Amino acid sequence: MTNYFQVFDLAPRVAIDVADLQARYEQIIILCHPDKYAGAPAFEQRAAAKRAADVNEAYEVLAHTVARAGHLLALRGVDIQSLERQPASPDFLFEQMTLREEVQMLNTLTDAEAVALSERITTAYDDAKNKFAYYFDADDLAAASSAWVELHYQHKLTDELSRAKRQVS
Amino acid sequence: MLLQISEPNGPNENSRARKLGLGIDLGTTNSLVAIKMSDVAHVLTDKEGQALLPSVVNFGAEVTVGHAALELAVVDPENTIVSAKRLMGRSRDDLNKNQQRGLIDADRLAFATRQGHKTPVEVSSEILNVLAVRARTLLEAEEDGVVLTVPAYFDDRQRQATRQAAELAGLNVLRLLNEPTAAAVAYGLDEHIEESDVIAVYDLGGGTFDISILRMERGLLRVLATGGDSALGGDDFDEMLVDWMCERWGLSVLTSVQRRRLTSLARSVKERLSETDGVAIPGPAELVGLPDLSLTRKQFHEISAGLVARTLDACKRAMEDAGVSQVAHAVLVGGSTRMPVIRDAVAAYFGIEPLCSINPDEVVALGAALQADVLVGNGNGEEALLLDVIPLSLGLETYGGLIEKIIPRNSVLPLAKAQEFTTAKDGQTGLVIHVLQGERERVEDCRSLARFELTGIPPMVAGAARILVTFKVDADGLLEVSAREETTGTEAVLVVKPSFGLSDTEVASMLRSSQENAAEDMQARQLREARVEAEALLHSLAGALAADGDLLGVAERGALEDLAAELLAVLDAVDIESIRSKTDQLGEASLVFAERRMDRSIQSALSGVAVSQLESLE
Repeated sequence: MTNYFQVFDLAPRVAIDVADLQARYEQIIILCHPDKYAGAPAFEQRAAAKRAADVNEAYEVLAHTVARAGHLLALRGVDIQSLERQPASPDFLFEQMTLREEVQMLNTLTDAEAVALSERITTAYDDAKNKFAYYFDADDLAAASSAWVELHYQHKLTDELSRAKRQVS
Repeated sequence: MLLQISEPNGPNENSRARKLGLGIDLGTTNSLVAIKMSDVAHVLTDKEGQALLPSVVNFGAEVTVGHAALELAVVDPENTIVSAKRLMGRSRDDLNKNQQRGLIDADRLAFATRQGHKTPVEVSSEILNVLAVRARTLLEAEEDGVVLTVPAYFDDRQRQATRQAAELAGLNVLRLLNEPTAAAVAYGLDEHIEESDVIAVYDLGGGTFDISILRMERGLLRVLATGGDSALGGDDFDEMLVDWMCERWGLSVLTSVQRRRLTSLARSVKERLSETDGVAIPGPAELVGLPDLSLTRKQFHEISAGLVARTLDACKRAMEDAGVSQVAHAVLVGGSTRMPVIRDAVAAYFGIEPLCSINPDEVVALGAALQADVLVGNGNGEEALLLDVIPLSLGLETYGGLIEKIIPRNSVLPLAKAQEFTTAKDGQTGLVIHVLQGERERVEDCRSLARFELTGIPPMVAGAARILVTFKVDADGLLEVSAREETTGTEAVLVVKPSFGLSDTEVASMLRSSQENAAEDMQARQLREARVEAEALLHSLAGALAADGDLLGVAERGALEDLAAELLAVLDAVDIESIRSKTDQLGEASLVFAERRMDRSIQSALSGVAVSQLESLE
């Protein structure tokens, strides 16, 4: 499988500088987009189109924390698709459900309560990210895989929170 | 031997001459053609000096397009097709009662006219043909290719239908370009827009609405998000006024002549309200005894509030998708943005006075012409690269009528994405792949693009087969889907085609009949094109070898030079096939070389990044 970090000449780590990634992406895509091969022979245009699609895919994956973390695991041979179907621990799921219910009730909360909920969810997401990075850097793939499942859930929750916030405003 | 070709007097000189790329804006209400000449894009006008060609076609005793057809629309509505763009790539279920008027009673959407059944694709191709002929007459030369604009929010079927209309008109399509992106190209980094500015392009045309959020850079114009409604435009404001008038006048049933009459009255009321605060609306003479009505701009704002709010909802979502909370500029595009109600709403929503220094009717065609000039091969490499996105998510039907999204909306083009699926039952030998486009979760709420079957999977236990479905979307936003069973290599590939347009055979036979009369012999034309392609390849390879020959081993270089010599040897022959096959062979063989060169340029660009990073740390 393609190592997307190599595409941008970056070290394979979950913590990356997103602005730096974007700068690298923009520089590379300008060099391989098929439009920059207008007037070139057809085969060169095809090669460029294929490369541009690969670069776009690599950027798309690295730009998003959960996908980037998943790619790190996949590079180490973890089957991400089956990991996605794997349930998290009952305690964790129960906590997620409780938080989700609170998010759905966002419009009934006081401002202070809403801020507290928002902070709790953001902190939990950051914790999950750090936990993944810790186990991954320590080369504990099993623990990193479980951490990734939690990160996946926490990310969905932050998504739902921002959607709920938009609806309230 | 190869190097001779890159010398100034080589046979390639002709193909390096300036080429002609046209930009065509195929609009719901009006269409235009433009070209870049001496660094500036110009719209091309007809004999009367008019740039706008009404997108109206009359299929009466003969085919009439444009202003003359618009006049016939009132006296001969049955044979006159207006706003055909609204039906491009659509099926009957997508249309309201008004839009179904005049259509034949069949699965395929077509109008019954004196000249027989005409599909929206055929109507559009008549309009494109008139614009191309206008350009050829003025330029006294045939164009090399066209950039055709489409609403950013067009789905795959609408894009396919548009491309087919161009093929039917015999045009070489360089690119389908999104209308708001074309407008952004026309503005470029002008005196108002500075580097790194995020801008919103609000494009309300006759029948479609687009909103695109872009970031403008030197060297790069990147669409961050796009949104809209491909069935919302100035026409809807007219229809709303017709309903309002009917209600006031107590009219319930209208003949098609009366409806056309009221629609054109509504349009003129709308246009006059852009100039004045209130207008009197006299009852049409053919409907005796109706009292005069009056309408103020304020009343018009009130009755159109619902339509305006729909555009602003789309703006809100696009801003969220783009991850921005404010923009440096809002650009107005499309004739319908002349309405003060729109200008006020855009100014209030974005909190800035909108930009409209380029004529909103022409800006899309002008931008298309600039991009056509680049894509036809006249560029110097300094032009900004356009990075556009797919407007609507793509997915597959899974169990229970649900959709699994494979490609989310606003993904950057071109793209290729593969996803693995498996069988649900023991011994299952086939799999239906149903491709859909849209944001909703259920199959019935999204646009069905194609349904095909992968057969011949060897019987295995449920979950053992590994079926890889690959979506490829090119820079035009056009989709190709393929499926492959990994353990056995069973394969099915499908280019998604509009099922309500014309079949390939129909297009081919229509093209043949039109080309039989063409002055140029097909054979001669094909030979010329094959030679040009071959020469371009030899030329580019010679240049590449001179610049980066060290990337090849001696044997690799020798193999390429042998193939190049073989191609050169057949170049003067009249055998098209041998020129083509030698060109293909050489092209295939040079692929690895092309990829290594791309790697080298990327590596050197990245080391540039690394150096600038270090500098910024110091």
